[in-house]
Amino acid sequence: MTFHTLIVDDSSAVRAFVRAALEDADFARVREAETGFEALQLLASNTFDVVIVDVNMPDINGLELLAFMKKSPRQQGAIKILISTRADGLDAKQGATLGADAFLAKPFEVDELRNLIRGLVDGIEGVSG
Amino acid sequence: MSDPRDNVQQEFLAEAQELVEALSRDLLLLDEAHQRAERPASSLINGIFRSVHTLKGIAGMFGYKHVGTIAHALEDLLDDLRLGRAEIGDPLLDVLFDSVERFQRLLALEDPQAAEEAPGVDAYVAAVRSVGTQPAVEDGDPLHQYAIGQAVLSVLTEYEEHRLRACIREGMQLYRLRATFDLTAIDDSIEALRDVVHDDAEIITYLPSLEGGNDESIELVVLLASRVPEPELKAHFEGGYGTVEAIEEQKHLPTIPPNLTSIPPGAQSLLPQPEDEMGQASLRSVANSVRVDIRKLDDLMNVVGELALVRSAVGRAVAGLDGDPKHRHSLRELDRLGRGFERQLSELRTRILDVRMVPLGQVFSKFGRIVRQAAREHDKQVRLVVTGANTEMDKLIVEELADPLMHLVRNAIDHGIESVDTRMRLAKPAEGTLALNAYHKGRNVVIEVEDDGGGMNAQKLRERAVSRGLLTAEASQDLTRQDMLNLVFLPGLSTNVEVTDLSGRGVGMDVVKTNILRMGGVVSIASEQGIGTKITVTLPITLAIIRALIITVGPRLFALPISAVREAIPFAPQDVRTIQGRKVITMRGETLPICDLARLFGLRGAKPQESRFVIVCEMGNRELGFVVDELVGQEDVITKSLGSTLSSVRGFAGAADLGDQKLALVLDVPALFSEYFDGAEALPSAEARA
Amino acid sequence: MTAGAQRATLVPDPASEDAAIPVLAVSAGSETYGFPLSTVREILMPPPLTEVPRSAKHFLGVIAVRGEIITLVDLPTLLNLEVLDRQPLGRVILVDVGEELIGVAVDRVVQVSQLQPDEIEYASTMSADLSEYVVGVARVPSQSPGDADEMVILIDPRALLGGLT
Repeated sequence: MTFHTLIVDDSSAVRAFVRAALEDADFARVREAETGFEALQLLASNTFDVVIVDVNMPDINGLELLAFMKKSPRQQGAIKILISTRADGLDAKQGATLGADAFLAKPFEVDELRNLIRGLVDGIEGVSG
Repeated sequence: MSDPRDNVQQEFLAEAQELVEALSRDLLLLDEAHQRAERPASSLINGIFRSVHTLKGIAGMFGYKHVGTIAHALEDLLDDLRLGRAEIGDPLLDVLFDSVERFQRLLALEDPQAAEEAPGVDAYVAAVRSVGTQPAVEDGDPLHQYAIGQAVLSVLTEYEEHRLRACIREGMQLYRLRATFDLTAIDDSIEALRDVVHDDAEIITYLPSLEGGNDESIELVVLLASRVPEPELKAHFEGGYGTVEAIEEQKHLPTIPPNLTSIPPGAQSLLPQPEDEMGQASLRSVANSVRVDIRKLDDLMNVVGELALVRSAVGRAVAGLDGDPKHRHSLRELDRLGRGFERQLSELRTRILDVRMVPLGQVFSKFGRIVRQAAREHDKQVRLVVTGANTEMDKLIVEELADPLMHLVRNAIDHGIESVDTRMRLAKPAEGTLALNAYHKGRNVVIEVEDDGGGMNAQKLRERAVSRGLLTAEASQDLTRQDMLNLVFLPGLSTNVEVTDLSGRGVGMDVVKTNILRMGGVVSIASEQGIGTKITVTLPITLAIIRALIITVGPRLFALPISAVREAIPFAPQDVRTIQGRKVITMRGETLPICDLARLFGLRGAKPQESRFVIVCEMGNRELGFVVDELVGQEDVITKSLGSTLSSVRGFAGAADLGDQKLALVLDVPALFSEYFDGAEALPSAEARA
Repeated sequence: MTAGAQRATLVPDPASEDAAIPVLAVSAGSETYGFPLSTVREILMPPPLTEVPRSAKHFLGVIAVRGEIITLVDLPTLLNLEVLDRQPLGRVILVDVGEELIGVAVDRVVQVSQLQPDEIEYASTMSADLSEYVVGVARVPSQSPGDADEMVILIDPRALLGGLT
């Protein structure tokens, strides 16, 4: 299956990286949001399989988006991955309480991201099926 | 599987470059505030942090190890700074300013991993670490005294929490603003909100809520801190936004549950449009802009060219239907549509040119660091004042301007502004001022580099010009003061004999002038001794840059604007026929008139007929092949006027400098077409003379 | 650059005590020409010349001087004077003609002479039909002793621009 994915990060290089990593071999179809506001627009009218959000963004940060998705009926099925450069566990912990399925510290490798998504999808499908 | 990073490397470099430029610009503002002993805005420090933070993140992902290492060290330092754990001082500013050049050097490396290419990274990181931090004095967490709510606190980042605490400590009151935003216009509405908030309050964060929203709109809870009394703030927002509610300190009476009415979506548009204030404008451009490789714009321009070709082909097809009376009505309609199409096409061309415009601030921002460094090396105090950084020019001009302007700036500090001692003695302010001003003037942009230094000594310039043999003593007698000042642009004459680190990099004012002239601009100078010097550079907004095909006819080089060229084909002299006195060849079944440029210009062709080329050009719906000797290649050239004496010569739009004093005459294709098709009697002139 | 040209006159200033006018004498073809020194901006070794087809014969072409395109004029042709033995282009003098610079092709630079007003025979007083570019003629002592005085044809730079367009 091709995952309908949203990447929210204010860095265009990170978005390009994620897009390149996931769109290769039709692994996923990626949409991008540069700001929390853009993300809100997309989240309100689309259903995603995977949402990858950066913690540190101006205005609406990644944690706020997680909190929003947790309440949003439309995004209940989405796999939520929080990304951040912070490796000390604080972001990871905060993310987990807000419903993130996984935390990935930047920088990460292409395979790391793909394996993570695959693992999460299998896990979830295993539970539901 | 190829590494997907290869394809997005350019994206990385472009973003990294932008981040470093933003860093450089913000550091300048930080330094300015520090020099004025002002407390820099928290948003400024956070902006600097964010640039470095993002740079660190992407450098790691794209294998720029050293960039990442440096950014990481700086990030820690800046994090302390924005969280109030470190103070701004010269050592801190120094390492920050130093980083800009390091980043730029590292980003320019071919192999980002090569350690030997990046000497001194470890030493630099150690220097950053040694700047050190003092632990901030914490006096109990004030957050607990407020009914902010755990749900809100759990989604705040560390920085947002810090700002919240800092605002409380500064005695600001916290407010909750609830407003519903139309999702399709949320960016603009937020921008408008920011403008309203701007002076009154600080926005801590935006929290999306699920209440009061649907697929088209969303309710946001905006956490504000403000000194403005509650009734006033309410009056301010409740007209157009939503409800404002103060968050009370808990030691007071419990608050009455807030009234959660929200305003209907779309109400935001009733707000007055924000002033185009600079800081806000740049914020907006970050959020609403896309980055485009300038080559893509060239591609777009080529598509416009293709469209023009299609349009003329359609025109020809329509012309083929001519004469059939039953089509008369349709033909008129087609003609009308065709003209409409052409208008839109030219509009499109204008718009694309418009996209190439960038603010001059892009180059001005580089000067902050230079001014600081230069002033420090010379033990001078210099304040840089920039106006008109938003003035836009063609990106290519802005890039080309960096070097000449840099030289002028260095000159002003090196030779213009006096040392602190001297200035005190002269009863001038100890701090010299270097002003960079940019503004529009008609179709030109004017850039001034002005200092309040010692000014230039006109007599000395004259003496030096004479002593260096650039001018005879007799000739020098007759010069006005302005003439003498203009001598500074002569090659071999710089204002100061001793070569300095700053301006003595082997270029003088003559090179500055040459570069400006090459861009089609002019430089002028005004200087009063003891008062200061002002150099004024006037440039066209867009360069008359054209992509040209360089060809030879006989011994001469000519440039043909590529926009007119359809294709180049080998010339087959045996295929030439004469129809109604005109030479034609047949190309793909169609008759193509040809014009031998060697004959037209009275030049002797240098090559045998059969090894020559026909350049097929198109104008409107006509085609004409120019026979030339050789195709040299394509080049971006700037067309310069031939001057008042030669501009009346038919067939040339100007001349282009190909470097090394080599010139190519730029063919005026429309004029040559109309000469060929409409006024054949003008043709034999050159042949008659030859 | 135009400031100099406004004073580029060979008419002496009666108010001035020293009425001598400095003139740069150059030779081109078989004649010697004089330009008011104040209008001469630069003397150059000839840069590569780009001919402009279809232009009048007295235009030799254009040259690039520090990014500026400058028209190069041949004086003898302009003044319809016969040239006995054509020399290769020796020097270019850049003359400020009011609104722009014009390059004048010369064989060599002869000297700078201080001309007294009474040494100048103004065209207006002469019966001969001289070109509109000529202010007058003057005799200057020859540089080689014993030779006769040299005749210098004095050029009006502002007329040059007006006449060329």
